[in-house]
Amino acid sequence: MVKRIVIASAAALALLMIGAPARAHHSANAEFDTQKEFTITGTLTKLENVNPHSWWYVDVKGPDGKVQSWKLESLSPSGLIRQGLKVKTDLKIGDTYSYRISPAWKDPDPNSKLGFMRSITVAGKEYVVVEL
Amino acid sequence: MSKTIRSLFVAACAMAIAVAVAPGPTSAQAPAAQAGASSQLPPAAQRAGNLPLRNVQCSYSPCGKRVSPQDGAIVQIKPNGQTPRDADGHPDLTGNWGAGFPNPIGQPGLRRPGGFEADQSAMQRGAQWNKPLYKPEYWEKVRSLDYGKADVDPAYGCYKPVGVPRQNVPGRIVQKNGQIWLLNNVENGLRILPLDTRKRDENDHQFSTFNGMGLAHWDGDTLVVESVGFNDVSWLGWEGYFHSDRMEVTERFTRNGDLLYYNFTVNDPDVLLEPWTSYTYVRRLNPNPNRQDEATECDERDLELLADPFLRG
Repeated sequence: MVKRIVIASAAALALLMIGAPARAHHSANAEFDTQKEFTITGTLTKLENVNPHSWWYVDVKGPDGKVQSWKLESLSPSGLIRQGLKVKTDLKIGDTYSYRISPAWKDPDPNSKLGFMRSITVAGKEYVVVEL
Repeated sequence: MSKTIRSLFVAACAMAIAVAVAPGPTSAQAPAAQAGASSQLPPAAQRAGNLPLRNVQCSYSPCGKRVSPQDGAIVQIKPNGQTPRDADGHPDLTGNWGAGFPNPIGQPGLRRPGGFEADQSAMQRGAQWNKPLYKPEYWEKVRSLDYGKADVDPAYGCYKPVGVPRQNVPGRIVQKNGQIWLLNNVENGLRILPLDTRKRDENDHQFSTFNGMGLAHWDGDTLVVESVGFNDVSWLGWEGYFHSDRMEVTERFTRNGDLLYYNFTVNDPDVLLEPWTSYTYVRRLNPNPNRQDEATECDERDLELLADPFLRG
């Protein structure tokens, strides 16, 4: 049992350490149109900074004043944190940031859009999650 | 009858003297435990910190000392054999560490068997000498969490991470090649930590994890594991002891022969008045080298099916 845990953990760790963890288990293209890419700017309403993938909830105000909710899938928290993004101390729920995203093929929730977060820009600095 | 009482009294005296004469492994941590913000406390609440020995108010001098049941039990457990050392001369903590010592109140924090959904909280609370001291504005919150339904506890049910330090002493330790592996038999219970004198990466504080981002080093013969980067989901104990996501935990492992002493200090100035140092827990090395760890046990209880959904303890 321990041996199996040890091997599994070592394998998982090895996967986490290589550059593009997105490729490790499934294709982002299966869920997201990775050929498309655009930037949204909006209010961060909720952040689940958990393994294996973090989830970012963003409200974007359109030109007509209507608010569109986005649910953005990102990779594991360590990628952005190790680049120096102070997720806990600098990021604030309710503040506005820019996100470079690829939209999902289908939006499972009619009230919000789903996207894959490729990068986040905080205080003028872009932190890249992954280049697909 | 009176003979029994007298012999009990003699035994108790002998224990108190033994405790007073031979300081346990906890006494070394006493200054650290008392280093908190005790100046904020009224003089009457100046506690003896988390020392195993406490002063007793009495009319004679010198006053006696009291020792908690946990600490009293631990100082009576004697080690066997030598402490093995690794190539660098540090104690080798590798092994399978088991409990199962006779303890006057049973295992702290665990429900005792013997009754159908018996609520053990009153008895366990009575036996708890050592509690985290929260800031007054959080007393109601702790009480509310404590007396809420059973599933308010984030570790209630199956496949929930328990987290550091509530998961307590690891049942299996592997110390090798500048690493220390700590395995608790709970969900998410494996930590692989560097033990190679590296410095803390300040970005570790930005994580929100159940086990924290641990970093191990040697303080003499004591292994010290310092962890930061916790979430605010897990608890320190079933009594509603919540914490903030800025908590920092220091765990200490000391091996003496076939015994492993363990305690932890929680530093969380956001919610605690002073750092809280736990009891010292002790585990004995399992002498069977072929002992296999079993799968994480799961005690699934549907809240709707509980006779008392407020069950606790």
